[in-house]
Amino acid sequence: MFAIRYWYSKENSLTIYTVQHESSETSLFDNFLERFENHEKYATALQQLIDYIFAKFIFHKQPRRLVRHEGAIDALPGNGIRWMEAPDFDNAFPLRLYCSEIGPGIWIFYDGGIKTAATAQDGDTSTAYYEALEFQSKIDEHRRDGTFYADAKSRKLLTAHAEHRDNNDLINL
Amino acid sequence: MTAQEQRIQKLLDKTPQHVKEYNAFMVDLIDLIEDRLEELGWSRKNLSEHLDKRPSEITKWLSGNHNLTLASLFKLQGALGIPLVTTALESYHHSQQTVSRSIKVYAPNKPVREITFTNVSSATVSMKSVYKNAK
Repeated sequence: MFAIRYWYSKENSLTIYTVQHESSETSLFDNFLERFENHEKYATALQQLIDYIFAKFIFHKQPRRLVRHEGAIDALPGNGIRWMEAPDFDNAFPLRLYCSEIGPGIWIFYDGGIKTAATAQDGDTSTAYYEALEFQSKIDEHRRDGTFYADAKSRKLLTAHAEHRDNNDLINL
Repeated sequence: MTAQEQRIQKLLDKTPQHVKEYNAFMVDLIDLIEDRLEELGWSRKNLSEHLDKRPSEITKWLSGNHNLTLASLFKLQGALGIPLVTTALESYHHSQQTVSRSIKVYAPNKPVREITFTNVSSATVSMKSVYKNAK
């Protein structure tokens, strides 16, 4: 069991949702922020990523241009972005945040991690990558069976089923 | 402000200005390259052929796994045929360029008149100057 939690939106921006395990008090995206906010080495990378996402990505007309495609899932930041505090860092940008678009202007942010291998399936990001894939597949399943739907006009996820509705911020699945 | 907004704002406040400017520059650059490729109907493979490079090298250039040098940017600029690199001096000269604008004036019971403004220092012509010239 898990819940989809509303996280952020601004006027003319994308709407960001995240996912939360039933057994957890915090969402995957909050976990990601918590891990790197005060990280000795990667706090500046998180700041750069947050600026990239919340100053550029969420207002971009073609946000898919600003993500990198890692198999069935997307990741932020997109191609071409290097870590400004350490531009000679071998693996370009050191952090990955996994995400996917589940409706027009509606994105889910999962967890992420430190990029330590050439592919998302390997290294320190692999747990977060496979977890994101699993959630994406469950979310797709619930969308297909009509548990909830993406409302393009309001850029919100809505459900008509009372048993799934906790409050405006949460859809229990 | 929600707790999430506060959290994001706190991180944005900590981000140095040069990092914000770098992100903005890179997003503009990505858009310029992607828009131009779409306009030309080129794939990245076509671009690599025009640059006489291996497709894998172009992927590396555009993927972030390579620190793009000014020389690479000028090569890209040449192949795509659009400016990707503009110096501060060029921007300054551009802002000083004079342009001329023509505006049609529609007034009740009067024939339509066209007024041309010259030596306009930007693309904007104020309504005040239109009114002054239309009288």
